[in-house]
Amino acid sequence: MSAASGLVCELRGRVGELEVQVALETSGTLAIIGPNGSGKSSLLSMLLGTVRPREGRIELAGRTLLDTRAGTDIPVEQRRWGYVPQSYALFPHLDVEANVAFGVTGPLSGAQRRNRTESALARLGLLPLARRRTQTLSGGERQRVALARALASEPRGLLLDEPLSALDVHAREEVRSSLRAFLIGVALPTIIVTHDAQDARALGAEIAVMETGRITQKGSWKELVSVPASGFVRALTGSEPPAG
Amino acid sequence: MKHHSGGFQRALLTALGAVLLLFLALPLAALVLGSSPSALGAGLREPAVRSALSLSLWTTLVSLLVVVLLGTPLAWGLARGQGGLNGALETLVQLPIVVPPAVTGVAMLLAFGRQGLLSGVLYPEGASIAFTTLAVIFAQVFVSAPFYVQAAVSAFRRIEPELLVVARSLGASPARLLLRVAIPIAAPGLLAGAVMSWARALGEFGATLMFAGNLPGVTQTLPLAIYTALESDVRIAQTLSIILVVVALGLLLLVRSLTGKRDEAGGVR
Repeated sequence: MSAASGLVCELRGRVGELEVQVALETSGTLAIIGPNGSGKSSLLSMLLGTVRPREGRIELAGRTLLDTRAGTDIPVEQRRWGYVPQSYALFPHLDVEANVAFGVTGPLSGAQRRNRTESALARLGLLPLARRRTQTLSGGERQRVALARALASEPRGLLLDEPLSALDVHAREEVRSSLRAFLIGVALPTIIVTHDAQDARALGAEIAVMETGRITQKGSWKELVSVPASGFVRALTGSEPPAG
Repeated sequence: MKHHSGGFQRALLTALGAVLLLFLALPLAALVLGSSPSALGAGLREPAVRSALSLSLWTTLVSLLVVVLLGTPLAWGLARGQGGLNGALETLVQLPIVVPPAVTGVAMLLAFGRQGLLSGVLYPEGASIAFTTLAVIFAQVFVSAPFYVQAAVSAFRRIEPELLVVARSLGASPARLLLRVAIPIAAPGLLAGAVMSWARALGEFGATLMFAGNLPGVTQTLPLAIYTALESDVRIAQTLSIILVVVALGLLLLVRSLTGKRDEAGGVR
């Protein structure tokens, strides 16, 4: 895939005590893994548009979302990210269908709106749950509602924050593989933030390791295992230090 | 010995609490005990009672409408805002709660009276809204708005921030964010605030007396009618008082059930 359909970003900014300085490029699924306080959530907020970096540029699917030098800063409402937060943040006053329909706006007829909502529900196997209140759903079902809601808004890219951490060990395995299949199916540039090595390995075609505000290593899981760039990566992948 | 003194201390603490409890309950008991359903019915047929009742009812409903319509956007702005100015504005909004009613009356006269600050701006010089029904509504809005705004600010602040971020990422405009997400989620808290605000407006006395006067049918609301009746017919004052106590108790129970539900809902995530 060309860079025009993907995500290109270069960001510098201070969040609290931490100086974040990151350059990334992806058109597939990139998992960002790092310890707490490494700045991965701040990076996500900068991409989303809720935190403004001091300087930088973000380009998504050929569209400039941010360019501090040119004075461009597209607001959150118009960036067209499909954002799934850690808590999933389903609207508690709406049923499953109304949650998914929330982002289906614009100059559409009622029938078009229903079609888009229904196809997102169907894609994630949620049609039987359409009328359910979100409080009655299991963790895996809630995640699917959050994904369907993001998808129905026809996003140009996905931002997933710790997508599996709200689940118990039981559900985790199953949801992980269905999430993986979903991400391959939608083929959108996707950033997944996680602190779990197994999640990063299963979901990310590429993995970027973030420590104290910087990307310290980027590559496939295999590359990380064979040449760990730091003690953190070594501990993460469980690889032994080279003999000698 | 130690056992003994522990029991004594417990008894003393209970007694102290009981004294206050008794003191709070006694006047209310006196109000209800001295009356009977037939006396209450007779009181309600008094023309003065009926006119005060209807005036109180419609002016407080208008005040409530004004407070909710203007107070909701204000509370939303205060809940979302940060920094020193925001804190100062919040304090300003709460000020009418602690300002003595007599001070409110003077302040209202100085702002909206015949020689007031807005004389010649809002209305021709020499004219005034003082001592009209509009003045009753002004006084009610002034004293009751803080109760609604304060409750609405804290209800809006209790909304999980990620819900608002997600709504925005889905393209929600500021109006859609407020009307379709924030207000429905904060609804129990907003409703509880509206009820408290209405109760305060219904009981408003001091500022109304000074700024709107005590004209039967024009500015004589329930509390003013009670004050007036006390001089001629205690039974009418008693009837009106019982009405207000019953309404206040009903509103209090409503608020408690609303806030109780909210706490339960807050527990489920």
